[in-house]
Amino acid sequence: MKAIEIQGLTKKFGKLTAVDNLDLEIEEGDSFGFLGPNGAGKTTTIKMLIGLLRPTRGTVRIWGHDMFAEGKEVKKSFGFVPDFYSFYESLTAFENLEFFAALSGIPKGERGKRILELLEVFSLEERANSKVGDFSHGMKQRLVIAQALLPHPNLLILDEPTLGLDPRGQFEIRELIKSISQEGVTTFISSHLLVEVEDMCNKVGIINSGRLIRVNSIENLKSEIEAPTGIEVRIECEEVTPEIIAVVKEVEGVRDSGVEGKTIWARVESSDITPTLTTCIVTSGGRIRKVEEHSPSLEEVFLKLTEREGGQG
Amino acid sequence: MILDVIRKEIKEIRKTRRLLVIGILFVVATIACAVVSAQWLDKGPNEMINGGLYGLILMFVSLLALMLAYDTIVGERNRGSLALVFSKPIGRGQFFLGKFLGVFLLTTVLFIVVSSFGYWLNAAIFGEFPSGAEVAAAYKFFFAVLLVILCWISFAMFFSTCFKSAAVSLITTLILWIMVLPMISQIPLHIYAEQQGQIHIPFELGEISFPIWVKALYAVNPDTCIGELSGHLLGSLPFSSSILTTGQSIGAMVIFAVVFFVAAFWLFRRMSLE
Repeated sequence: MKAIEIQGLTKKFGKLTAVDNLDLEIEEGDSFGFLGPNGAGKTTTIKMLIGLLRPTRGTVRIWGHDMFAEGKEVKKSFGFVPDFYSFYESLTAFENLEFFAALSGIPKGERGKRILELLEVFSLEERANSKVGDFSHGMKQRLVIAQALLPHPNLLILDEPTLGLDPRGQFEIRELIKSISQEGVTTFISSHLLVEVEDMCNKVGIINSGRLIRVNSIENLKSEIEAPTGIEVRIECEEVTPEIIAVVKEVEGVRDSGVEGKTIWARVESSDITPTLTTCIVTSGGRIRKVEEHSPSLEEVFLKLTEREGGQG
Repeated sequence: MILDVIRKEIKEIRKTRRLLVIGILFVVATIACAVVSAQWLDKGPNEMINGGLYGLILMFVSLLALMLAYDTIVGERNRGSLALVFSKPIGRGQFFLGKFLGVFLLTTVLFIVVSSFGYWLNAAIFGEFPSGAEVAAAYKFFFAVLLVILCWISFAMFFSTCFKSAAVSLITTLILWIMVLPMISQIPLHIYAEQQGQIHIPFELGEISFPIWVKALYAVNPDTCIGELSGHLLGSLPFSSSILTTGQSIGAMVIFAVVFFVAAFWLFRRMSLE
């Protein structure tokens, strides 16, 4: 079943087109990373996705229901973590969650139990009766994810979930989100942090200047970049002889090669070539110390794609 | 859902310093008024609430309503809590109404409790308890004050919805309350009275019949209307005789409250959360 279906989604602010004819489908169980540079249209897309903003054109369906025709029903089926938010700081963590539980439509008798359960999961049970105004940013971030999980949603939408957190806080939140995904909750994570998306998602969509330029699995996107440029293999030998250099150049699938000290590097079509390469070096009398393959990171994929699209536009 | 918003609103306001400061001032001023009226001015409870001193105390009630309502919308918008709230299945109308009623209930309870306490404290010190008819008149007046509270909450929530800054909303609301509305209300009255040869206050109003446009402008300020209403209900009019009838006073306040409430509600439903 499709968790999210977006068709022809467009948002214009006067002459500015913030989101341009965006089509996207996310399957149940996916961990989808929504990538894009600042100002690309990620937050505007998310605001339309959760019904905070009406699109100029296009439709949004969540679990098959139209967001703008059946908004109240649809909103019961997902949790949302905004990038910029505030709790009611004079109220305690428990009181805040109680309010959001009520808004989520959780029956009064079940609220207390669910809140305590989540506070425990997010290690906030000892601060249940502390004012949220006294919480650190990391604690608030855990609390905002807890509020999103209140109604047991099967879809979680997160906008920059680790924004402003220190490295430990970022790690903790990433681990939490990963554990939520592993429990079968479909996640839609908007971020400009590629490491984060690479760590948490199996599929990504890249948006640039309001247009969705690519949707694919991370592996496929990397392959797409690998295909024209290839991957780099670096082989450190005890000694690099002219014979070894000549043999490497002759291997089928090697596009380019060179020597840096005692390291031979070769740009090859795919990692399947690496064993042939090492065998040839050994048969030519070379003694290998270390082999390294360098595939493009998501960061390189992202930069290449956004650069290419920017160039086209 | 509306009840949940009301509960949240009341909990949140109860913890604000504004409520504490203005609430304490209101309580102290009411007690002082009750004691001074009974002890030194020789006024019983109904005379007290119809007197000028009590009129000043009512300013605290208006101030309280304005101070609690001026950032109801703009505050949530600036802090970013609206994004969290509206990702949940609650309608904008329900949320707006919940906030409105939360502020109204809190102000009302505070006003009725404190005013009742002041009323009976005065009676106890004065040594003469009011008759049933006097008590009924006093409580009719207290309920009329609730209309003023409704007016000022609607008024403040309108500006809270209009502006993107809580400070601008507060300053605009206070300036309009303290200066502009009283000027709109009083200046035409004085100009017209002067044209009719009445230059002294209080006017000999029996000698002047005010045209409808003067009355309409006079009724623009809810504080003026409650002054008139207090005269009708408690027996002493601000200008020695009535400019507005009881129905006109109530009608003017109802129109004021409805106009600002509807305008605020309309704006809120169309407010962009961008």
